[in-house]
Amino acid sequence: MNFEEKNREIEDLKVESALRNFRESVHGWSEHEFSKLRTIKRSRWEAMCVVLAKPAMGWALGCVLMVSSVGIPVTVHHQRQLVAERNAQQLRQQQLAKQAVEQQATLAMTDDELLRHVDSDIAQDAPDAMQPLASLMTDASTR
Amino acid sequence: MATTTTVLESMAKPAVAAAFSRDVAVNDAAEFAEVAARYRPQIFRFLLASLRDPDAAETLTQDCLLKAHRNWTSFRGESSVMTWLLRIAINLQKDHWRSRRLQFWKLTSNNSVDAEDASQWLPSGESSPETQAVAKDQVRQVWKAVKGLSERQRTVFMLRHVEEMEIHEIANTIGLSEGTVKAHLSRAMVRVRAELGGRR
Repeated sequence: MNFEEKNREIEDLKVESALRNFRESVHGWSEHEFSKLRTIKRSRWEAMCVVLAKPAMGWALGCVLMVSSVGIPVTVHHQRQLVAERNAQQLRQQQLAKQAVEQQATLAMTDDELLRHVDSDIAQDAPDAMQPLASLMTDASTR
Repeated sequence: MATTTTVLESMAKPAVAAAFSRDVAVNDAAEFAEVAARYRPQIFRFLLASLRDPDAAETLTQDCLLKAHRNWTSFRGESSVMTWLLRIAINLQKDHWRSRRLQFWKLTSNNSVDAEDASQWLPSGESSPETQAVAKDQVRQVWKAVKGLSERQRTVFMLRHVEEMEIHEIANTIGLSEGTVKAHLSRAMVRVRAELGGRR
C-alpha cells in the first residue's frame, strides 16, 4: 500500500465518520423536535374560547351577511320611494299654486268687467229740466 | 324451497355488501392509523433535515399524512409504504420551496434553523470533549456543504445518508433512474468532501 492509497483510506474514513456523525446528529435533533411537538399546551379557558368563538363567529358573520344582503337593498328602495313621493308632492303643490294664480287672475278680470258694466248701466245724462240742480250739486261738491 | 332461498339471498346481498364495505372502511382506517403512527417520525425527520425548519416540517408531515389518507384506498402496494409516503413528502417539499420562492415577502418570517445551530445536536456516543468538538465541527461542515447543494442533490443526499436508503429505493422514490441518482449523489459527495477538506 503506497502513501497515496493510505491517504485516501484515511480520508474515506474521515468522510465516513463525518457522515455518521451528521446522521446521528440529524436523528437526535429530529427526535428532540418530534417529542417537543407532541406537548402542545393550551389552557382550558383558551380551548373553551376557541370552541365557543368558532360557531359564534360563524353566526355573527352569517347575520352580518344576511342583514347587509337584505337590509341594504330594502333601505335603498325605501329611500327611492320617499324621494319619489316628495317630488310628486312638490309637483302637485306647484300645480295647485299655478291653478290658484290663474283662478285669481280670472276672478280679477271679471270684477273689472262687472264694474264697467255697472257704470255703463247706471250712468245716464241728467234731463234738461234738471240741469240747474245738477250744476248746483257740482258747485256744492267743489266747494 | 330453492326459489325462496335464492330470493332471500338476493335480498340479503345489498346488506351484506354494505356491511362488508363498512368493515373494509373500518379496517382501512385502522390500518392507516397504524401506518401513520409508524412512519410519521421518519417523514418528519426527512422533512426537517431537508428544510431545517421544525414548523414547516411538522406542517408538511401533517399534509403528507392527510394526502396519503385520502389516497390510501388507491395505494396498490407497488412500492413500499415508506417509499410512497416519502414520494408524497418530496412533492410537498417541492411545492413548499416553490411557494416560498414566489412569496418573497415571507422570507423575513423564515423559521429555518441555521447550520450552526443544527450542528449543536451531537451524536450521543461521543464522550470526550475532544471527540465531541471534532464531531461537532464535522457535522457543521456537512451542513455547510448540504446548504450549497441543489434541491435534488440535497434530497438524494438526505435519503442516502440520513434515511440510509439504497440507490434503487431512492430512484423509485424520486422517480429517476439509478444512474441519475448516482450522478446526483456523486456531485453531492464531491461538495461534502471538499468542505471536509479532502480531495475533489
